[in-house]
Amino acid sequence: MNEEQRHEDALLEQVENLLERGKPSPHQTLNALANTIPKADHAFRESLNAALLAKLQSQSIPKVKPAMQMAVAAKRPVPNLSSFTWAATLVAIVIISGLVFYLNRPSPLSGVLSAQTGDQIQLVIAAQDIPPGTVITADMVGLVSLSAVDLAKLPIVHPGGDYFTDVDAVIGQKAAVDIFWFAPIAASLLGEPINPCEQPGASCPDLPEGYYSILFPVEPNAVQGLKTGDRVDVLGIVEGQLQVIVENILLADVQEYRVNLAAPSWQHSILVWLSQTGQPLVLRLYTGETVTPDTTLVDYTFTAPEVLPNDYKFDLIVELTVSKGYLLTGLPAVIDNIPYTQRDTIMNFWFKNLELVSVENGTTVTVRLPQADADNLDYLLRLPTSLSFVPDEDSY
Amino acid sequence: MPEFLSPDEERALISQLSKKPEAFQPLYDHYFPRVFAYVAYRVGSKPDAEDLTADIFLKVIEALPRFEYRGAGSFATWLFRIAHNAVQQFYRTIRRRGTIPLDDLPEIQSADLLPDEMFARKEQFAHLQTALASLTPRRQEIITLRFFGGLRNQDIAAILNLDERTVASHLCRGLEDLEQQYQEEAAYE
Repeated sequence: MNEEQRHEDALLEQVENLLERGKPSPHQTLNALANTIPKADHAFRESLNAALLAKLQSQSIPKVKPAMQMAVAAKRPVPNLSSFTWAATLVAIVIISGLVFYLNRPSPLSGVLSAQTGDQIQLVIAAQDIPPGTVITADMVGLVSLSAVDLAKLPIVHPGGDYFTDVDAVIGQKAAVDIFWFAPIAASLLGEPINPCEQPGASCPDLPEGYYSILFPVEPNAVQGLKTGDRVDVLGIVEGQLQVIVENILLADVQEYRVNLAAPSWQHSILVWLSQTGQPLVLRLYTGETVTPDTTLVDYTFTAPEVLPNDYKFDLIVELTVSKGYLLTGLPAVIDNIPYTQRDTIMNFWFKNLELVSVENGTTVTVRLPQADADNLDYLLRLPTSLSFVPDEDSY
Repeated sequence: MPEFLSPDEERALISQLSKKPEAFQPLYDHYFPRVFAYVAYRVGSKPDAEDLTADIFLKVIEALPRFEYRGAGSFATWLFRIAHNAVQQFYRTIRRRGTIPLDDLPEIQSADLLPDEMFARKEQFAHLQTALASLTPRRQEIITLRFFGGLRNQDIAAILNLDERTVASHLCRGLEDLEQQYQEEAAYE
């Protein structure tokens, strides 16, 4: 691999890290591209959505197009800005004007306004985005002149105060947090980068792969006898009764008034739903045993809600609303090996790689799958679930 | 309103489209922001981006009965091929324009930008968009499809009838050219 290839691969990796993992790049332009993603107006997006759905449903040339064009045109009038927006815009224009003036000077930015009037104050501002941990150099900052009137607006737009007026006092210092282009440099923005996990009350436990965590407020007595790393059952009120909502959840972090619960996929979905109900959390130590799944292949027969062709190769989706997730505590076997997706409040459990044995009368379907999956499928089909069939991936 | 679609979900939705038109909603939620962002960077002005995005999605709806799902990524490739052709058509019919007024710049995606920060980001968008427009059309296309269309190199290769390594090379060289143009513009101001 030659030098040019290595360079290209390194840049491609930066692009992937930035776009897929949100990791800033040393390339300022890459970061700038990622920070300036255009966004459509909500009203335009919704009106186009309505027009498209109407067209889909009518399956004809859109009569709604003239209305849609009107909706699009309606987004073009001059905005009616609030007085605050005008004030902020004025501050921004002043800042930009000052910065443009100073960036045109041939020498590196430093020093003092040659003509400082009595009511003008100089401030040091960022001439580019400065990521946390960056040692600030002269080309990253600039001086701008503000009147006392504009200066008085700054705490509203950039709270924090302690703004620097001398560039030399900033050069060589480290950005503690993201400092954005045109932001006045304040003392509170400088120093060692802040690790959010080291802040008081933060909870950043190490989680097993595939686990997602959620914080819950708790009363101190709710976690008596429990410690970080325990496996717990989470109970809640459903249909007027206290019952187990989800089992075998990792207690990832315990603090006096908060716990961090972690779980994979569908269990996490149920925890999120539970957190939104606002009910107090009840925890107890999980005492269940870990069962090794039975992988013996068995034939399982069920009734499909629609007629299927005899040779149809499909994946099966079993849908259950999140609010009924507590019913899954009776699952005969661990279901975490079943792929899971969620759409709004619907949990989707995917049974893939099913071997189709037969389809009789169009709706009596027999598939071959591991015993544990068959037991789970049988249990799910007895719950208020819906079935969908999707062409198998390999059939494309 | 969920905007992330796993390949499995996308496959399921596409298979349901003929029976349930409402299955298009999640596809729209997922692809609309990407199509708009791609188009906005290619054309610069918000009104033009809106018109073009609307045209693209209308074409998608009209062509849906003819779409054949061919595995993960095939829908995205198909949709952005329509978008790419629409942008090309746009440039064949429109006259060259000057600087786009601030009011005609699109908003920028962000969690909570204060008004002056949003103003600065829009200015930054304008600079980048101008710098991008100075690259070769192919490199403009590859960069915008990668960064704003969210497509992988192999999908871009399928749309532009190139091989994947060529796309990767154009992407890298295009980004380096863009960096140079962008820094020169910033210094010039």
